[in-house]
Amino acid sequence: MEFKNLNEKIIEYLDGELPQFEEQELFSALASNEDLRNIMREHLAISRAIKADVDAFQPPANATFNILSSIGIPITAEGLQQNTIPKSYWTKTRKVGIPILLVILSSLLTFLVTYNFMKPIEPTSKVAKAIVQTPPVIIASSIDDGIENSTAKIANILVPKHNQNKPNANQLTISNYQDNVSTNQVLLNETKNSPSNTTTKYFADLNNPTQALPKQNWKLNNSKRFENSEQPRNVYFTFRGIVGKSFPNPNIPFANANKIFTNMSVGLYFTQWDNVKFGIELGNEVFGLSYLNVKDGIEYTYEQKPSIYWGAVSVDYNCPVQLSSIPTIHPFVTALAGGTQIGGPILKGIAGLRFRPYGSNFEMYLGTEGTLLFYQNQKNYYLTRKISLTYGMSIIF
Amino acid sequence: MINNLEKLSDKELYGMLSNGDKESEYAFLEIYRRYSGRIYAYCKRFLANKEDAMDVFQDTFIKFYQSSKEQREMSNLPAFLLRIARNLCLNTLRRKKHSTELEDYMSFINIDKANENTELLSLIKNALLQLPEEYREVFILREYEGLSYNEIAEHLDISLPLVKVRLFRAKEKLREILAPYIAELSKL
Repeated sequence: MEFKNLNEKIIEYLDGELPQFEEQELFSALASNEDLRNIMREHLAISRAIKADVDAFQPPANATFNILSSIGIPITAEGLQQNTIPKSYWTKTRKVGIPILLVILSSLLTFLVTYNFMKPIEPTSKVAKAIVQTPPVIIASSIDDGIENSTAKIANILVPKHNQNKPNANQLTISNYQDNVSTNQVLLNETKNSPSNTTTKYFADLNNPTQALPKQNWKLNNSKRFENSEQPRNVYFTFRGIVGKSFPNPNIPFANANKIFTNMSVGLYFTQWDNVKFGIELGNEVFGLSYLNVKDGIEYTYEQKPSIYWGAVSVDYNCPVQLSSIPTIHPFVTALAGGTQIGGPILKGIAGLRFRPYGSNFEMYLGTEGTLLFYQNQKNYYLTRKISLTYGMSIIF
Repeated sequence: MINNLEKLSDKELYGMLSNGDKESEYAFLEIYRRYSGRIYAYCKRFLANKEDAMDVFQDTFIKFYQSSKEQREMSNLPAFLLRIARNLCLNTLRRKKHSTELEDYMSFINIDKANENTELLSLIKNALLQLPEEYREVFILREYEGLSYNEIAEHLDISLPLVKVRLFRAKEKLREILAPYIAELSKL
């Protein structure tokens, strides 16, 4: 075979195109010819170098951007890593049904988790016991006068002296408590419950109810700064409303300390990973409170419905799985932990659906929220549960 | 609930393109993800000019998307993309012939120099420029696109023996140009 012919065979062999029956002839020629082996080495070196030419296979980012812009495909955070889409054969019923089903399921889940802690409005002792493992009934001699007095003073409430009668609100104001009881305090109920078999009364202070509990200095943790230079950093400003029901839920009007910023929250979130955000939220919500206050051996149960400021750090997870029918809707969960102006910790969990139109800097969401609010009075801790519907929007910077 | 695009064939993806809804966008993105690298490599090495390659690369996918709205049978999607890219490349080469070849050559060298990982690769790119257009194209289709001889023949609409001849000449020419360097490099 001619040398040129053998050279062609080398190339065909390296390209995987040489028929098997011709290989033996080529191998024999290679074994006996040093020049042919050198030629083969040179072709191999060229092929290997071309395989390392990765630069040629990487289109510039701006080219990709130009193409997608030209044909009207919005550039999303998922970009070209997107590899899932809705099945085309889904019916319209399913398209609507899946989001609704998810909302119902997430609502049910949140409700059940929260309901586990819920009981009728029988405030105090059981809750207190469960939280701090101390006797629910506080005898007068063990009361810290400082806390007690400050509580009563701040709340503008004067606890009654030993009194076996059942005064109504007016009586309370006019007779025994003339100097101190606010006209905004309502005597709601009474039971015989104290160690001294004296009357327990339920009050609501509508004037400045949050002050009824001893204040503790709650310092909201500063949101951590999460640095990650490799990820595009998105900042989300969120604004949401909260509509819900507390347990306990006293049947009294709520005290609206702030007529504008009530039952809502604002937050600032930072993208840490693709689907995880961290942030802080500040909010104001109405909660039902029920707690004990003891004075001179008489145990009173107070009920309030104040709007309470809270602050929390939060983590949010946006489920990357897209709903089949509407790709821009994602399920999400958020967990918040923080403190309130009345001192105790507050825990929140949110589950719902988030909608972000393609190419938009806005997103909207709807979800259910469960809240656990802890608070303390006279060394006893109390718990209020709340189930809410939350809705809102985020602006993305 | 979720359909994984990676599992879909080219034909299925192309079929989705004409739907005109979100699905078509996803289908296009998946096709782009699959073939953009190959098409860009073809344009870049064939035209040997980064700016031209980028223009042709962009036009290729835009034309492809536009053409996908016309219903047609798609038997070989990468070949279809390559055909669009090839036509655009040839148009570009014709338009630029006799005008700025030296300029382009220099700019190509300068731009790519920063990205070179190996000396030999740099030499190969330069050597490719010295090949006649028809030889260079066959070489790129074989080495960069990984097409078989038959596929190259089909793509270029030439006979199989002609593919073999052109490829042999292209590789031999490259080898002759690079042989001294390869020998030197092998000594290092």
